[in-house]
Amino acid sequence: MNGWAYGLYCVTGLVFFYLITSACLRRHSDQVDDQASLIPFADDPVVARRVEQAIGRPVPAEAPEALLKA
Amino acid sequence: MSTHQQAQAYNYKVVRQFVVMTVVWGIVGMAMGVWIASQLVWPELNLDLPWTTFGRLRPLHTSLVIFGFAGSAQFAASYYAVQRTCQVRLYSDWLTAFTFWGWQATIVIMLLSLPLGLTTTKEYAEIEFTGAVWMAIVWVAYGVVFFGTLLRRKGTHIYVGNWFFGAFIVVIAMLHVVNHLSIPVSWFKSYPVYAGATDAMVQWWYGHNAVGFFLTTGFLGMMYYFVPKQVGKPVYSYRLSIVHFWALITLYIWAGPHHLHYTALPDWAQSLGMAMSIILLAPSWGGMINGMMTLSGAWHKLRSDPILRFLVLSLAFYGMSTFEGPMMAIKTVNALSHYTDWTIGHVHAGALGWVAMITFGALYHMIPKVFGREKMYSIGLINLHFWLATIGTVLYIASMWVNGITQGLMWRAINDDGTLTYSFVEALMASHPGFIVRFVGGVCFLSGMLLMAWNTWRTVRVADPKLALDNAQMA
Repeated sequence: MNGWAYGLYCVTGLVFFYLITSACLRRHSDQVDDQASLIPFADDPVVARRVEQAIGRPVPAEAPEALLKA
Repeated sequence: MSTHQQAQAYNYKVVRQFVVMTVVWGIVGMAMGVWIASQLVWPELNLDLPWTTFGRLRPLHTSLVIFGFAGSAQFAASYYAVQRTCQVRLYSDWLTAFTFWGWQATIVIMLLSLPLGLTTTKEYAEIEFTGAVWMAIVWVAYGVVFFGTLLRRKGTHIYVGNWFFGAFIVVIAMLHVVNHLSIPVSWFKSYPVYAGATDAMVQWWYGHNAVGFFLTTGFLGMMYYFVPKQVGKPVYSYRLSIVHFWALITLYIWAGPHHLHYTALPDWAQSLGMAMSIILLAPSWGGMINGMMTLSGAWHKLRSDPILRFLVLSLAFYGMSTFEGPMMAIKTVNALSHYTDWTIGHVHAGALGWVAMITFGALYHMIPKVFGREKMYSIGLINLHFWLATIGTVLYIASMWVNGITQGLMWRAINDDGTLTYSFVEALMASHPGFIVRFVGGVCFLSGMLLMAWNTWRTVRVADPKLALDNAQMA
């Protein structure tokens, strides 16, 4: 592989990383990120209440037992 | 369980099955490791039988722990996390069951064929043609189940842990198929379509990314779900987790040539592999720091929670081994370390310290939930397991560092007239104390695994079906 192709190969990887990361973060406000980071607690109300106390923000979670009664 | 309830509930049956088989294959695979470690201390334990020689049992050990133990753990964790973060049942019950039985059949094929000497001879890809084709079929089914579940998710956002699991599934499929391209001459004998340096390059493109994607990316998915859940806090920086994901995906795939330094591989490819390996330190440590910092303000929980201790120590070992890896990829360091026990120690810093420890943490988190218990049978036994695993890992990697550097220095030592100062046998004799310490470390680690099996058995035996059903209901 000649020097130019080698350089192009490396730059392509760098450009790919920059473009894809920028695209993924484009519509990510702090609020969106905060909500996304709470997804693991969304089906676990007991833990969600503890997380609320730890971070001081509301953590939306649905009670799983609601469906048990259905 | 009524049909209605079953339709509403998460599919925990397959998670339970994979959890149990993770423990089973962990014991079998690690016992195999202890056996081959003992063969290096006492060679007569090769038993003078072809099926029990080091050469045949070593690939069996690696296959069982990578695909049996780590593979089953990732099936369990990804199926558990994707359902809970998407808040839907896994796509297709029968296809999900097929992935369980199909994957176990793959491991049994390895268990039977490798001691018989049926092997491709490609490291971590030893399974011969028919087994490899079957493995690919099961893997595609896994992808259909995972991505089918993602498509049915309730929310719009895909949690970052699922990105890691998804990348792990896609890239492993690509690596497995490309590296196994071969011409079969019988059911269990084939010849690769590649030759010479190309074959070596393809093999180590696969081999390094088996570490990068089978033993890292899926476990990072595990980390991004289980660490926040166990700490009771969201991940430190969600934005960093996205940068971490793309940086890791972009860089890992280029690093394979560092396994072929000073070989017939073109020099530019060796240098590229070295450069990419060094840059890889950045995303690896970014992810490690993101996981560690999730504990900010909650470090006190480490005093009372051995499960969290497993998760955090796994991140510490991940940080350590992802620092050591790039250093070993530097050509001048590699000139000393390559082909020595240092490499074996490095692999086990990752395999025992990172992969196994995060698996233990995730399993101890999941087992009570999927089997309907408030908590594990004995927290004391988890604590004891933690210390046995830690001591075992430290003994293992420290002895291999000493052995590796000793071997590297002895092999390269030359007299004034250019002849070798030491014979190979002299270096081997100097390594013997290290082999004994490594064996002791392995026994410690395996003992911890047996404690886990006992703890799991006692937890499962008194499982409460009612509570398990409650846990499985979807929000």
